[in-house]
Amino acid sequence: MRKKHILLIYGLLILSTTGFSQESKFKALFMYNFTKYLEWPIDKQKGDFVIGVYGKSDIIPELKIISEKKKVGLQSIIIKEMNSSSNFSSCNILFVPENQSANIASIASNCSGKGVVLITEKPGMAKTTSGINYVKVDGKQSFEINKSNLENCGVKVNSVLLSLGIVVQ
Amino acid sequence: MILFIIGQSIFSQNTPIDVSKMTKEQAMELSYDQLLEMPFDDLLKLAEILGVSSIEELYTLILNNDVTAASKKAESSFEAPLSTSVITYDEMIKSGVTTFEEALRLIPGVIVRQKTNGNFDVHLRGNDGVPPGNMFLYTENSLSLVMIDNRVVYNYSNGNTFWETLPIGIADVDRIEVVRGPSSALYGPNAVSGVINIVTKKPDSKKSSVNVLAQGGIDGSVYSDLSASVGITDNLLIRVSGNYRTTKRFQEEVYFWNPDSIGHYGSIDDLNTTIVPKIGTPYERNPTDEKFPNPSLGRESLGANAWIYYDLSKDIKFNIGAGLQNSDVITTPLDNPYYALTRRITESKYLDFHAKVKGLNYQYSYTGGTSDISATKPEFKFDYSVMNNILEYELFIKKLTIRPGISYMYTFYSDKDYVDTENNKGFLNGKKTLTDLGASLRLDYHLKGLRLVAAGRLDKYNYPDKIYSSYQFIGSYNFNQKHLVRGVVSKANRSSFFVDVYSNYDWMVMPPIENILPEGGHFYFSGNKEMKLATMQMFELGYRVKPAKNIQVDLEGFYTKTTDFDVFSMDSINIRVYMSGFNPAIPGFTSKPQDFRQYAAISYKNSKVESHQIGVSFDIKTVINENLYFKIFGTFQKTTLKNYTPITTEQAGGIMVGEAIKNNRITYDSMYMPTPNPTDWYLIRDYGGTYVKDSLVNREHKHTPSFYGGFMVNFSPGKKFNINASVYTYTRQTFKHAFEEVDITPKFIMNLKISYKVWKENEVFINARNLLNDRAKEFGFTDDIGGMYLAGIYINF
Repeated sequence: MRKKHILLIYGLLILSTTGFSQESKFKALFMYNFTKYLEWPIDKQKGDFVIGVYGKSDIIPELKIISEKKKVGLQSIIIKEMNSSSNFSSCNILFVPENQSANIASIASNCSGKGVVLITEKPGMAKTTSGINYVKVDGKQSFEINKSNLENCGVKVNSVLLSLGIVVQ
Repeated sequence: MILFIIGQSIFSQNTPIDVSKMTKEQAMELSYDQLLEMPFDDLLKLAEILGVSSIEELYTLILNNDVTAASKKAESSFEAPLSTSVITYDEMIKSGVTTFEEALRLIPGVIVRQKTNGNFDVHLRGNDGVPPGNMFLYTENSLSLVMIDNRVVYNYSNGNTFWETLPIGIADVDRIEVVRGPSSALYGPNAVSGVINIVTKKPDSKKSSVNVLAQGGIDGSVYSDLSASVGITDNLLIRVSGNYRTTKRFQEEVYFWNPDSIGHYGSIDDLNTTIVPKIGTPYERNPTDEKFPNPSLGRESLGANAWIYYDLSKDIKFNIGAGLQNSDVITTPLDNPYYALTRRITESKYLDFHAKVKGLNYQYSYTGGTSDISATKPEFKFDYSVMNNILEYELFIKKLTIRPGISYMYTFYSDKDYVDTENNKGFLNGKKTLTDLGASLRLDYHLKGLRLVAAGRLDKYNYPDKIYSSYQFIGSYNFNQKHLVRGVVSKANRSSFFVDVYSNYDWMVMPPIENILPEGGHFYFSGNKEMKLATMQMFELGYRVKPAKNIQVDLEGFYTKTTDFDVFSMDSINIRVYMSGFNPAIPGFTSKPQDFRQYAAISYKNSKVESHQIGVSFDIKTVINENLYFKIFGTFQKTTLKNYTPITTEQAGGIMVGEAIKNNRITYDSMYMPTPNPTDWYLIRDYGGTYVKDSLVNREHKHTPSFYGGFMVNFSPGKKFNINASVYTYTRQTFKHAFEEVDITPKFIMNLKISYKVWKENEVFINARNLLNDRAKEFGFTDDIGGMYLAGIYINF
């Protein structure tokens, strides 16, 4: 087979990909639903409800769609892109994508005890650092939840949310 | 209008969405508004119907899996600052590889040649067989750091890896991480051409799990692996494993050397007094039953392991692993003057302890056992022990990570229980030790997309009694998580090994001959305690890009210069030469001129040769859709040897004789008249002298193929079937041994595995390695390597 035939076939195969991802959409929808079962400290229930995303992620456009359609209680949802020099304590939720997981230790230390719910998507993170961690179980999207990590940042958890997710300690 | 809206809302309230009855197509048509109104538990069910995760899972598994080797902490392979590749457990199972060495054929930058069935030669990037024209031992890879869970598993006799002595099997593995290029600053000596770290599985929950991988070939080969884990509590987890494999060689013949010309393949039973060796005396036939009881054996190995994991808290974790292994193989590397293969038998055990207490990481490892590296000769059996202590601490100061570390390695090798050490009948003749005290510092700085890494290491050895330094400087910039460029400058050195440092071997190549050689003829091999350690310097540029979410492309260009290779070369030679006309009544003596070598002194020393390698590697991975992914990879390289002397050790002996005659250093009287007490010895001692300098040349190194690489495609037509096809290929090479030279022809090795899930994740499969049965040899003077056709089961619950 000539080289150009191989390249043509390879190109066609690439073009045939769907390029469409449901996963980010569902993670954004899950995140919105978490807010129904979590209670933030009083000072975090005023002003805007801030969801921070550390770095770049496909979840951002999905969250922006939701923020235009929904509120958390009476709070308007604001989506902010964060980086290492941002003020994390202004967030109600801070999502750390998997490709930024190497920075989790410093991120966690910067928002400890400040009413910031850390959400991650890397295996094992809920056991160590985050309050909620997206996981896949038998191929389906789910989430782990660590009640003590959430309570340590001043957020209360409804037992319904514990029953829907995988509780880790 | 109002009535219409009320009607609509009443209508929608009266027709709630029943998610459990939805098809995938119906689920995909739901709008955002509908999804936002759905109860959370329904949303979870919907996620299951849509299968949102399968393709994303593939992206992570194939394109962006985790790696720890490059920076010694978990990070995605996209961000890893060095040239790294990861082979996952899933990939190993799907592709049907039977050994770790074969798995290394699935990534760029690794040259893997099979010598006999189940025994492989593995090199990272090249520098194999440098300098060419030496013994088999020098074709082995002593420049790569091979580890299991950061525990060194190469052997310290020569620094090469006895792959059959790795106690774990495929079922034990979470992933294999490969870092290409000098990485001693992070890992210690011998990460010269790179690092291969096999990371074992850790159970991640209390739930029990069992994996069994068992397959048998139509030739009688067997591969079987078992792993089982269980959680005693959420924090205390245990895993045990066992493995057994046996392979048959593709031929029973061995290659016999010929002192005068090209050798030939023949049966080991032909080994008798009519076989004239390349050097030394005709073979004295001993029963081969003791040495080659099973000449058809390629490899037989058995291993058993156990691990305990205890997490006291999220910051305090311990684990301890222990195991043992037993192996028996027929392969190179140790030479003998009659034929080109040898039998190697090893039994060993290990202990590996890790503790993580907040930022502090400590590892203690022990490996020890007995290895007979050439069962055909009694002199190469050793007891050995290797102990390593490593302590590192990680602290964060804003955007800077600092990781200082110290380490201490102690190893002994001893042949005192196996040979007559008083008369120097062994290779080491006693218990010998090597130590290495190391200190390292790594600085890792992140600022948005920029990352700068500086690492340095100092090693103080007992022999050579010197301090060696290694370094790595890396700069990388990550644009938008889609482009990563990096530049690396690094230097690393090899450790010293027992053969180089401590060789103290007297080989009687000719028995005593009355009046001529009353003490027989000897080769003396001696080590060198002040040997310089082979060192590589590298400059590399790398570019990683994700042009689309489902494609990742890696390109790396590298230039390396490696110096201070060790060679095994002639120091001096004493001979007696007899001319025609003389005819003592001694068996075997002819009227032709003969030389009787009283002794030749050979020592290990540094070669003047420099290896300059320039190359480019590429790796393109694509997830086409949920059922199909593909990758293609390869390396183009060119190696030039400078200051290379093409004269072999044997040829050097001949040149020395010629020089002695030319310079009138032989007394002709003694050539005619043997005396009862011969005193006229002619000493030739000048291997480092003029004729060597005059012979130095620059030439292209043809032992390393100019291209090596492959591709793999995985297709799952439906939920139950999986088809995986892979190819590994390389271009022509020239294998130059001290005795002879042979061309290794290009080979296209195609593999195919088809598996079928009979129940949940449990499978039956057929597996063909070298499907097209191309029997071309992959290594000089070893076996044909043909096809293997296997069938088996994989249990996973």
